Amino acid sequence: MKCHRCGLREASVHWLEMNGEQRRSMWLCADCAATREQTPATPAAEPLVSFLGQGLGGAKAECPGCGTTLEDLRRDNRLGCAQCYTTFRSTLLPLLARFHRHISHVGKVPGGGQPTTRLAEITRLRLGLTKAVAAEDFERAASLRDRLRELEGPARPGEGGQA
Amino acid sequence: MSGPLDGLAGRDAAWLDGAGPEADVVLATRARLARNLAGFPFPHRAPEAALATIGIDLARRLRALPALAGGFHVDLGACEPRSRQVLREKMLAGDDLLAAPEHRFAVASDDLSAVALVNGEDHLRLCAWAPGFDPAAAVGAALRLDDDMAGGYEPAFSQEQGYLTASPGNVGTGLRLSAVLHLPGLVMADEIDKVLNALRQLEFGVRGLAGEGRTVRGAMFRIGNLTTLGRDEQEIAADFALHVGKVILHERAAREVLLARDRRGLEDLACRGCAALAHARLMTTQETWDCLSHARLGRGLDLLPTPDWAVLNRLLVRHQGAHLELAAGRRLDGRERSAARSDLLRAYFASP
Repeated sequence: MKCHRCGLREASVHWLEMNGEQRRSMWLCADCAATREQTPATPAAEPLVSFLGQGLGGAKAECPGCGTTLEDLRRDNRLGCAQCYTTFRSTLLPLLARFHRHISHVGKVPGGGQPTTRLAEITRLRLGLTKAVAAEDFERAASLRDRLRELEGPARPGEGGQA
Repeated sequence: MSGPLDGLAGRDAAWLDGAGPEADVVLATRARLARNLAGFPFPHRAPEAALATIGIDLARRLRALPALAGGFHVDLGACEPRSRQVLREKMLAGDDLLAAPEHRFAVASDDLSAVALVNGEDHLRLCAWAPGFDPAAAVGAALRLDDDMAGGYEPAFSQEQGYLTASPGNVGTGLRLSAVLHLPGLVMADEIDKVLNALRQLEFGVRGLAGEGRTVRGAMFRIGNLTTLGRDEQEIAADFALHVGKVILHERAAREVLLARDRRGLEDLACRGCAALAHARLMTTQETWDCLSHARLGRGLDLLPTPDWAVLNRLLVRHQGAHLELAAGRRLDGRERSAARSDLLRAYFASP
């Protein structure tokens, strides 16, 4: 097989380049491979990072904790401090839901507390839901129902799939 | 460059010893937990003074942990770029730590199995490596490190989103599991794209080992989970074991198919690789990745009695530029590097 780049020399190297979702696979000769090796690479952006840019509307907001603005978020693809999670909550939640398929934490908690497993969390929420309905606190019931749906709802990634 | 990094550069990580499960396909498994301190901006927004305080304080606490005591402590700001590059080649640190080294620290155990990185993208990242394919062991070790460090600082945590991180892609458990896999069978059988696409659908990220992770060399891949929120640590580990486990099976199947189709061709490839490693006098990076890959494939299929997995694994790290330059004690130009690389390889491969 001839080199995919120069088309002259015999290919000896399988070359795979990845940049986020894009992938380029080709066979190169040793010379072309050596040239490509020196091409500087730009770090690949992860999917959520590109979501961040899309999801940010024109709203003006600045985090009181660290001064991060939506503009900064769009540029850095990073939050500035813990408080940013509260400041930009409404922007962030749909993005988290899209990227992680979940919006609330399940797992280890600091300080040696009982880790929240999915099952324990579901049980706790169901109990809360029953109580909220009985107390006719429908606003709370609705929020509990949403979290329950979120925990129970999405098919676990890959179930029935193949890798 | 003097100091602890010299010792670290000469040290082979214990998790490269080839003693773990599925060593014919998987070099090692890593679990990483991202943590931040409550009350401080994340490193990229933190003022210099805050970074300095956090850096010194966390590094001091980390060095006192039983798992890290007596190991290595590296102040990245005080290192020259080549020395920092050694950490990347050893797969111990990423770009976030190396790009802006001021007030960044790495604290590692003596055998390099446990590594803590301070003031990278997050204030603290705790990493644990296990040889071969062992997600449960890696996650267990990382969580133990986290337990040991608890009480030393107050983590940025919310009941709703869990551990808060600079990138929303790490929030929740902060757990990223990854494994380094050698997949020459899938590459040669031209099935690698199918497998990588399936992995992407399942929300796993795939990178190469070379060129900041963008380039795949010697059929070495790094596969890791991308989502960290909404599943607990054990569930993430179980999913990882299931899906990456399937990749291992696919790779073995592909190797068997290739072997049945053209045994002589594979033997030739493996023996040529070994011959170059044992006798060549100038070896480029590219050629070395390829030859080591072919030698591994031959070893995995019992086609030739090449050195054991530990040697093959260690050379994958040691043949890279910064390691060669640090061993030589000076800067090397391209040709000198190729010469130094071939000397290193011959020392392991040529029979006495």
